[in-house]
Amino acid sequence: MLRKNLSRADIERFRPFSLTFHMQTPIMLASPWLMFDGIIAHLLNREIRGQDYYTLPSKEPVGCLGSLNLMPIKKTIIYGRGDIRHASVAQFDVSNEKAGIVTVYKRFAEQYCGEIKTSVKKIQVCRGHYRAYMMRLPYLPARSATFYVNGDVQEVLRLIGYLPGLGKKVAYGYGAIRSVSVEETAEDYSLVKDGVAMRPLPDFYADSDEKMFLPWRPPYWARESVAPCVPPGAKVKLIG
Amino acid sequence: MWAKRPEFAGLVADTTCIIRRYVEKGKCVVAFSGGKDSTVLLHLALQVDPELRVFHWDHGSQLMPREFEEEIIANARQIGAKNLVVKGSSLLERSDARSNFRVWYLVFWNTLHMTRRAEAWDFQFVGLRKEESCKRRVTIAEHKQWGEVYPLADWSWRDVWAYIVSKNLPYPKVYDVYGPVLGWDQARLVTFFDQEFEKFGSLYLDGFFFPQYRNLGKNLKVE
Repeated sequence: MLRKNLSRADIERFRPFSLTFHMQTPIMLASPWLMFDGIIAHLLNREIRGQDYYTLPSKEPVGCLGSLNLMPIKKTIIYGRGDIRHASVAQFDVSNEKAGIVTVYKRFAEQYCGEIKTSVKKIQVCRGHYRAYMMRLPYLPARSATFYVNGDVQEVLRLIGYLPGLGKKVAYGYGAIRSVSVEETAEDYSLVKDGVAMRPLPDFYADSDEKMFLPWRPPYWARESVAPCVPPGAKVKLIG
Repeated sequence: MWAKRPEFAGLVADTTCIIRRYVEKGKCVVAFSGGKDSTVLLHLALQVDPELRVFHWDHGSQLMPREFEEEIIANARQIGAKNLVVKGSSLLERSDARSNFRVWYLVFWNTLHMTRRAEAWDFQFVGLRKEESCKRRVTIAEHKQWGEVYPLADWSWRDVWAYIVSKNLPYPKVYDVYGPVLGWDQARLVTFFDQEFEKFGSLYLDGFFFPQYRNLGKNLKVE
């Protein structure tokens, strides 16, 4: 799918707003923070690449969206360091202490043995490609997840129309979305709200007593995105 | 309540007898990981012989963040360990320490055997329990490792916690995080973000409850 860079008129449409996902099922997470710009980058990538999206290398980042400026989210440019997107992490209506654990099993399906073209007569389930898993995964029984964003509401809403759910194990039924509501906010709370960091802010952009190594831009799973950051929830002061 | 049961008192007395028997037989050492089982074992062993050697393996800063390592050492000292031997390896500070657990095993067993020879230990008290897993039940039954003694083999998780609470022993704070969500029987002190335990979902659990340790040792530059 061919897309053009955002025009000035597109950027002028950017407004601060809050987006609330009303949840139907608990959200499964591998980190306490769910990044909204990561979700939008994922949806854009999937839309632009089409079926090619599913054959991308899984262990190394590919040029996210090339040199195109397509993200419908405002960015603050830090010259020589990268751009910070104005999108907060999810604000859940329950605290992390309410987290529960569920056990997920992944087993080799013996009925499909015939599909494997190999001379090997035994399938090893203790290691390798067919390894069996019995994973304990954390979930949050949140009824709502709110993101603060500064961007194009219409384009964001169009993109999240393709979002099947929030968090991990959506195919198992976790993180199902019941409805979405949008509210314009008077101020931009996507980076800082009441002196508290709303997303990972790299230490060249924000100052705080609390710091840790965190990814601060998509793709959030890549080592290249990790830098010393002020974590969401910490008291923070923006630099410059 | 559990600690006041006569069965529990009998279990503690039996375990103390086992430890005393081996201490009288030869030179002993207590393996101390810092977890709940070895905390109980260490306390029981030091009641028999306060001068006992205590062996602790340092997994390195990536697998065991320094905050927890320092807590473990402090707990051992508080319980009364006077002769604490802490061993580790610079190999465990490599950037692949979390994924290459075969190196860990190799270095650990080599160091343990060398230390055993150097210090002429005859018996090693290890806090394995039959209840923990089938594999551990087999290990205890087969008794393959050199001079290993398992005084807590018949203890249940309730016995372990009852002992810790009744004696007011210090234990790592990670139990207070994982205990309420996993259950006090399932909560264990293991290395963090260790890919050996990925199949049990440890990367997800550690990632959710201890995100600050996820990106340790990725050759990151602090400017």
